[in-house]
Formats: sequence, C-alpha cells, structure tokens
Amino acid sequence: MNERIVKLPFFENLVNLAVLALLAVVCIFPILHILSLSLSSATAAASGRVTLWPVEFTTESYRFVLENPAFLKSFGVSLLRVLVGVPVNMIFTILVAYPLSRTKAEFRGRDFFVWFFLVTVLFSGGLIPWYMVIRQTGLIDSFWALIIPGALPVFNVILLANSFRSIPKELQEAAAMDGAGHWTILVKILLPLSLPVLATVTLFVAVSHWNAWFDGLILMNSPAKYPLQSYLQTIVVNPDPRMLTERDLALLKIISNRTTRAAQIFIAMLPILMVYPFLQRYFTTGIKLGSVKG
Amino acid sequence: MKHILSIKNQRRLSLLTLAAVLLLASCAPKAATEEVAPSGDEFAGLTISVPNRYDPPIEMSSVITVDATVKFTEGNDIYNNVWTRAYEQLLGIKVSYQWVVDTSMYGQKLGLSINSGEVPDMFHATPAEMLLYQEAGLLEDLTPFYEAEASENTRNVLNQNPVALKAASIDGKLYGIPMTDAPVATASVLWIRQDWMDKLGLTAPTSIEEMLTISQRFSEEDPDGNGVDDTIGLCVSKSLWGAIASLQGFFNGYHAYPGMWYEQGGELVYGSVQPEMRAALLSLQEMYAQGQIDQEFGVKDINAVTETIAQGQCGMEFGVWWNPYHPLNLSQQNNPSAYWSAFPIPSVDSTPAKSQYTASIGSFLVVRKGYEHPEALIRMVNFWTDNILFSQDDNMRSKFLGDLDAPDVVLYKYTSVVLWEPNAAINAGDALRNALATHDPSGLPLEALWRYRIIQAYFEQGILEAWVEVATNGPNGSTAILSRIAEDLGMLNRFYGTPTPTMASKMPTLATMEDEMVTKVIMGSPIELFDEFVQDWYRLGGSEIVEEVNLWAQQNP
Amino acid sequence: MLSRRKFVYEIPLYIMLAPAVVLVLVYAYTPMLGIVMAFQRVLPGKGLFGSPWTGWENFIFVMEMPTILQVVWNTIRIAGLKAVAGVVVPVTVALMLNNVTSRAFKRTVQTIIYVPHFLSWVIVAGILVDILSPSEGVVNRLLGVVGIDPIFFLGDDQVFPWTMVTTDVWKSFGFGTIIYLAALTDIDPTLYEAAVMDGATRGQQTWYITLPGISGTIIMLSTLSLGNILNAGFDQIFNLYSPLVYSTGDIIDTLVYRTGIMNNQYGVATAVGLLKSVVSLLLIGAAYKAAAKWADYRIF
Repeated sequence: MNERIVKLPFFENLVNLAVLALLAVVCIFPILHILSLSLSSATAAASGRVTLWPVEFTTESYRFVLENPAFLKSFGVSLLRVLVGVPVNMIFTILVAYPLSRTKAEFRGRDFFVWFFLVTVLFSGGLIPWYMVIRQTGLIDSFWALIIPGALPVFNVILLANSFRSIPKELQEAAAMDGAGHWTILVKILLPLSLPVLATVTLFVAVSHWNAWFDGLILMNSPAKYPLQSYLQTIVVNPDPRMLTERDLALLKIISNRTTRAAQIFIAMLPILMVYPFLQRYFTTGIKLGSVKG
Repeated sequence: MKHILSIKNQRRLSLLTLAAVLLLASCAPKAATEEVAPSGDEFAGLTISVPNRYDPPIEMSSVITVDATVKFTEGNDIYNNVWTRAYEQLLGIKVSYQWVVDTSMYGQKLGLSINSGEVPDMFHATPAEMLLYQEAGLLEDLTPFYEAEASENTRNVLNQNPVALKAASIDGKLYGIPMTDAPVATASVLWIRQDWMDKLGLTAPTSIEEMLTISQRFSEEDPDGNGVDDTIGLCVSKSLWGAIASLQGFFNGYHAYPGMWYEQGGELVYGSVQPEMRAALLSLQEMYAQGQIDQEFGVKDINAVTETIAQGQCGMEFGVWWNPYHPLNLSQQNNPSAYWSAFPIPSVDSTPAKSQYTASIGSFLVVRKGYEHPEALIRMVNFWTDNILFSQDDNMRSKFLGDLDAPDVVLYKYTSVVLWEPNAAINAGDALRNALATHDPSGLPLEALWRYRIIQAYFEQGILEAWVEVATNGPNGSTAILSRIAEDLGMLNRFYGTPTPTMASKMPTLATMEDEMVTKVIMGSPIELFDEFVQDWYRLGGSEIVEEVNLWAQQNP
Repeated sequence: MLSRRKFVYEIPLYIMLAPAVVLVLVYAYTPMLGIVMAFQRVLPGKGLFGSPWTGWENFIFVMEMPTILQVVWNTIRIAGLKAVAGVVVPVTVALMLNNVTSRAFKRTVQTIIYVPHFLSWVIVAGILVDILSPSEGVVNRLLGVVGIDPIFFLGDDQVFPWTMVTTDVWKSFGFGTIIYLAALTDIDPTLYEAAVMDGATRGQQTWYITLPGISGTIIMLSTLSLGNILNAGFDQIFNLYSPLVYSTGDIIDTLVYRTGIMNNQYGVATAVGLLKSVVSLLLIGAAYKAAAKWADYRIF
C-alpha cells in the first residue's frame, strides 16, 4: 500500500527532517553522556571532566556491574515481571476496553462502568490502606504483589476503548448479522484492526513494569526480591554527618562511584530500547483499510 | 576483595595493604586471657562476658535496614551472620527479621507495617515516631528493665550525653534506649587548601579579617597556577547548611547561630532572627560580588560542589571533621600535591568563635508493648557495651566490628543495637596524637595502630594519599579542633525535644523563607530583606514557636 | 421481553468486566476507605476507624501554612503550562513524523525521542545543572552565538517555571508522540485520496483531515491531563528547585513533603490528596460534559 498520499515539497521536507533530527540530537544527548561516564575512569567522572566522550577509557564499570550478583538477580526479577505482567495487563485491558467501547444502546451499564473505573484513577486513600489490603490478600513479599494490584491500567483502557470506537460500525454490524457474538467480534475484528494501538499499549505496559521502583521497595520484605529499578534506587548512599567510626569512614571513600551508576543505568535501559523497534512495525498507516478490502 | 572496590579505589587499596603489612610485621595477635561464655566453635577462644543467657532460647522479631554499603562475606547474609549467631548462641535470643529494607525507605515501611497491625518485638524509631507509637499505646515502658539489668558500661555510655535519657523518656518513663552518637561531630571546622596558602605565603587565619583576605587572594591570584581565573575563595552549596560546603561555620564566626535555639537574657531565642546574622550576610554579599563565591552557587547541590572541589577550583569550605574522607580526598586524587588543613572557626572580634552543634538523638530502640522479654533488649545493649564498645581486645573488635584488611565489610551494620560514645572520634584522635608525639604506639588498639602506621607512612615515606589521616588525626588534625569544641568552643542547641505543634505546621515554610532570604542577600539583594524576614518570621508563626519552645525549656531544664 | 433479550445480549460484556471489577473493588475501592484519615489524627495500629476524629483540622493545618496561596498558584501555573505544551508538542511532532518518507529515519527518530522517558529526574537534574549553567552551559553558549545574553534557567524565578515546562516536555513528548502516531493510523487513507482529487493543498489536508482525525485523541488526553492540574511534578521540581526560585517554583507536593519530614503526618497527606482528587474530578467532569454538549463528543 502507498503509505503516504502527498509528499512534501523538497525544501519543506528538508526543514522537516532537519527539525526532527535536531530533536533527536537533543534527546540523545543525556544518553551519550551517561554512556561516556560509564566508560570513563572514576576520577575523571568525579571531577566532571566527562561530557560526550569517555575520558580515560575503561570498561571496568561494566565488569563490576555484571559481576555483581545483586544486580543480576534484580535484573532477573524485572525480566520475569515484564514477561508475566505484560500479558496479565493486556488481558485485563482488552477485556475492559471492549465493553466500554460499546454504545450506550448496546450496553446500558456503559456509562456507569466508565466512571466506576475512572474514579479509581482520581481517588485513593493513600499508602496505608493500600498496603493493608495488599497485606490482607497475602501478597506482601510475594512476586504477585508487583503484578496483581496494578493489573488494570485505566489510562491504557481508555486509549484502547477509543481506538475500538473509531473502527467503522458497519464491519461489526455485518459480522453480527452473520451470527458473530461479542467474543468473535472482539477477537476476529477489533483486535486485528487495532494493532497500532495494541502495540502502543503493550509498549507502555512493558515500560511501566520495567520502570516501576516504588512498589518493589515497599512491598518486598527483603532486598533480594527487588526488581531492577528498586535496586537502582538503593545504590545511592547519602553520608551521615555523624559518622564516626574508622569503618564508616573507610566506606565514605568508596561511595562516590558515578561510573558504576552510569553503567547500571545504561544496562537497565537496553532491554526496552531493543524491544521498541520491534514493536514499531505495527505502526503502519492504512492497515485497517487494507484488511477491510482484503 | 579487589573486585568489590570500585576502580578509583585501587590506588587507595595499595595504601591499605601497606598498612596491613606494616601491622602484621609488628603485631602478633594477643592471646585471650579469660574465657567466660563461649559456646560453639565460632566464638571459642574469645573473652566474652554474658551474665544471663536465656535457656531455652527466646524468639525476638525485629526489622533492620541495609544499604549499598552493607556487604557480606561468603556464607553470610542479613538473616544469618556473626551477630545473629552471637545473639542466639551467647545470649539465647533468636532474632528473626520480619522485613529488611533499604535505609532510605525505613520510615515509610515501618509506618505502613505498624499501621497495618504488624509491630515487631524490637525496632528503632525516630523521636517523632516514638512519641506517636507511645501515644497509640504500642510501646513497653522500659524503666524497670533498665533499672534491673543495665550494666555499668551501658549506663556509662548513655549518661555521657546528658540529654540522651531525657529525650528517651515520656512523662518520666523510659520508652526507648537512645542510639547515642557523636553530637559534636556535626560542628563545622574551616577547611583550607594548605598548599595554596603556602604558595601565596599566607598563614593560618586568626580572625575573620584574615580569613577574608585568604579568600580574596585565593580567588584573585590564581593559586593553582593554570593561568585561568577559575578559582573560588569559599565553596557553598545551594542547601546552605549540612556537612559539606555549609555556611553554618561562617555565621558562627560572627557569633550568629542560624537554625538553633540558645539562651539569651534568660530565655531561649532562635538564632536565624538575631541581629548577629546581619554582619555575616553583608560580608558574604561582598564576597559574592567580588567573585569569591561561585556565581551559580544558588543552584549547585552537594554533587555539583563536590565536582568543583574535585577539579581543584575550591580554596575554602566550612564542613564537618571527616570531610577529608569525602569529598576533599577527590581533590587530592586529581592533584597529588593538594592538601587541606582544618582550622578552628575564626572570630569577628576578640571573643573566640563557637561552633554550633546539636545533641538531639536521631533514633531510639523500642520494644513492643506486650512482648514477653523486654529485658532482652537491655541484654543486647549490655552485650555491645560490655564486650565491644569499651573493649581493648582486638580479636573481639575484629570479630564483631570488622576486619581492617577488608574495610568494605562492616560487621556491626548487621545489627541495630549499636551505640557510640559521644567523644569517640575525639578520644581516638587524642590517643593517636599522644602516641605520635611520644613515638610510642604500644598502648593503641588495633584501629588506632593502623592509623598510626598510615600517618607514619605519610611523614616517613612521603605517601601523599595518607594525608586524609594526617588532616583528621594528625598533630593539628580536625579531631583536635573537635576536642576544643567539646570543651569550650562549642555552642549546643538547647532544644532537643520533638517538634512543637506550631513548629510542625510553620517551620517548613519559615525555613524556606530563611534559605530564600540568605541566598538572595548573598547574591546582591538589599540587606533590608533580612529585616523583612525577621518581621515575617515572627508574624507567620515564629512568635508562637518561641513561646512553645520556652515553655518546653521550663519543663526540661 | 425486549429488555430481557437485551440483557442476554449483554451477558458476555458483564463476563468480560467481572474480573476487572473484582480487582478494582479489592485494590482500589477498599483502600479508598482510607480517605477517612483526612479527618483524623492518625494513630498507628488503631485501624481505619479507631483513631480520634479531628474534623477539618488537617485541612485547616494546610490552609494555614504561610505561603499556601502562592504555592497553589505556582502549582496550577506550572501544571497548566505543562498540560498545554504536553498536547501541542507531541501533536506537532507526530504530524512532522507522519510526513517523513524514509521509514528508517522515522523509526530512528521515534525511538530516540522516547529515550529521555527512561531517565529518572535525579539523573536528568544532574545533567541539566551542567548544560543550563549561565557561565559554562552548552545552551547559553549557543545562545551567545546568536547574541542573546546568558539566561539563568534554574536560578531566575521568572524563568524557572518555563524551564520546568520545557524540560518536562523534553522528557515526555516522545511518549505522547507515540499515542498520536497510533491515532494517525486510524485515519482512512481514502480521505486523502479524495482530497488530492479535489486539489487540496497539503496544509488544507492537515487542517481538514488529519487534525479532525485525531481530535478525539487530543480531547481525551487533554481532559485526562486536567486531572493532573494540581500535580506539577514532584520529582522534577524537588530535584531542580533552590531557594532562589521558591517564590515561583515551590508547589503543593514539595511543601507537603517538607512538612512530612518534620512530622509523621498521614492525616495531612490524605487531606491534601483528597482536595486534589475533588478538584480533578470536578474539572474532568466539567470537560466531559462540555465536550458532550458543544462538540457532541463523548470523551470516554
């Protein structure tokens, strides 16, 4: 299929590309900075001599990080969290998005349920009752505490339901005439036609699982169970002015290792950066029409 | 062990190894003289005194924090280590942790789990938390157990800080064991680049006047000799106060004591709104105008200032006694000849300046109301004070505190029952200086001996990295200054209670206003801003706070 | 009869919703009972209803903080600007990307602009202080080239809110762009074909086809961002503000945070949360009604 109908005039196209390229440069700057830090010597990093190019090049930080069992362990927890959490989130999202995408005529309870879910985004009772409920349901210190309480991302439900609503009604009515029920319409028509939004939502869900750190820190009872981002939160140590033993002081000298942190941040970013381009092939204009005609 | 340290410390490692080798050559392990209660192989051969042991062992649930600096040797973890084994085998107390959390999240996790009904048998709490839990009826009154079981040593360390036990008491009853530390360690000293002073022919500042001259010449005469006008007289961070690049010491030189309460004319006053602040602010304003203070200090946090120091652009800073360990060591790593010396805070007039510090206790060990063995906590404290804190036995100290050959494994971080003597750093420094002066290290405990060798390595073998020990514990090191602050050059914060009601609601805003005013005046706003601030401070809640604090002072003489 | 048949028709819909409804009842509605803490002096271990009731005391506590009005205004201003910029920039970038023919270029840019989203504000703040420095920062050096005097982005209280908006957009526009790009794929390409037949210029196509095509998404995301009008971004501001910019940069969350340090104030935190929720609900409800009434558009 022809993806685009009208091409920009040469000059405008050039400006367009230039502006986008500039944006990309502005966005990639911090990553290059962190990458350079992670490949520089610790003294160079501590004195702020590293900008966009490694100073006193060394891969020692990466060796240090990759040999650290706590880092690898939490990396594993995060991977598992994404592998389990994304399917769970997606199933909940799709199952809720479909009824909410029906018209009021098709589903009388629609408006009620929209607000039923929306209110949960707006109101919360704070941390204490949330923690109490998770404890009462036996999830404290369990891997499932990272999956179940947040299994329904309402923002993504709204995105997906909106996409379902924009799909031409005629298709669904025709299918219904042929005797297709709700499940068939959802699986056979709506899902295949919503691949771009599904890809988007999958990405968001994966990223939010990968980036979440607070729940891991507060719901797990031992650091061995922290996911990666929780672990990364714990590696910053603030010296206490009242430190006074020779052993504390010996530690003071080894805490300011910015290069190691940079390496950890960089490694932590890699998995999602590798998944993203893969998901991008679903962002293709015109796919709906093609499938309808085909 | 090498891989546990970060790269930049490998150079430092050589120094540690050197010290260790020197030690081994000179000092054979001492034999234990008496054996009291060792049971099991691990503690055999150690001199340990434990008067009462639970038999059969009792259970105690607790909670503990860990952070990135907590490391374990092979086969140990937070649930099973020398401390948990010692508590179980020697005291008969089986400690189990309900949860283990990163230090930064402790308060939040504790609040959440206690609110959801899960109260550990023993845990540590801040003063505000202790007050709240006591009000909720969750804490055991420890008075009778303390009276009955606290050992001589325990009483000794808890009484060294005169306010410690008072702060742990509510309505005359003892609800917590204060985790004592070193109040005086929060006092500021003045750190100056000695090598720059030498180069410019400057001498130690004996007055504010002289200090200002040093600052001016540092910033104008290119002391680092790189031909670029990039040196800063006085380093200040945007947080203004704290352990590094603070202004606290500067104000103290003008007899102003921002952020603390002290007696004046028979009642307590708040330092930040006293007229002494004015002269100090004007002086800082002038320094800033002349470029002696970083023109962008207002947005630079501690990390940014640390960078400035590491780059060797910083000539002077007010900070605590251990600053050479961090961040000043970074400056020496980048420039081997860099050397920072500590000086007492110079005074604006003939009255010596006093460094301000606060004696309040940060944490208390508390026991759940209804726990069957509240005295177990006292016994754990006794175990610490009787066998380790005051112990001169190197074997014991290595066993329970950590092996100096592996400085990154700090064993006492595996327990929360840790109390320190308020003057530990001072006493250690004094002993060391004494030994250096007499060239006789024979009476020193292992750690001090270790430092003694390092300081010797600096003077005798010219190992420049050893300057850190010299600048803190050497002849005129920072702990010598602390010693004088503890004696007569200190100004103690008179208020050590929990926040009063108005303090809780108004102080955050008032403190914000103060920081705003100080920063703006330094950067050139008219000094009338200070007068306005004083008026606003009283008007927006300060008057009530002063009343409340004075009422508190009457009840806590 | 009719209504019964209708119910049978709806049964699968209820089955689909059932698991989520249970989940939300347990993990979102039950904890909402905790809102009562806004009216209590919370004592630990007393359960949700066991602590002493204090009426509006927690709310009064907040209202009596000396700078509260200024702080609320700062919050609304920063959050409002962020909401506007957070729609305009991603839509523009999505439209620009949509005009790119080279698929490799498009994908590369798309991936890269999403990257800042992965960095925490602590990290970003460290980098920003360097590059925004008036004396040495890259940005001011570039401005110097075109003859603009150095700007103290983080230290000037007139500029600070704009710095917050810009850096926030920088960090999050990749995220929004993805949503709009996905929405663009919903537009029927035959519309463009017809427009070309009618001789529409490219600008006219954007105005009459593309924008209306994604207007639903724009309205929806704008409405949702109204819900955040009292959340100006704690992590960002906490890591970047300083006494120099308190007058325009201090927001509700940073103020409450500084209060919490001094005192374990669960009641106050809950009260502030409740106020924010009510305001959000009112705004979102109003936007929902307005869109339904004037644009005949159902947002959710």
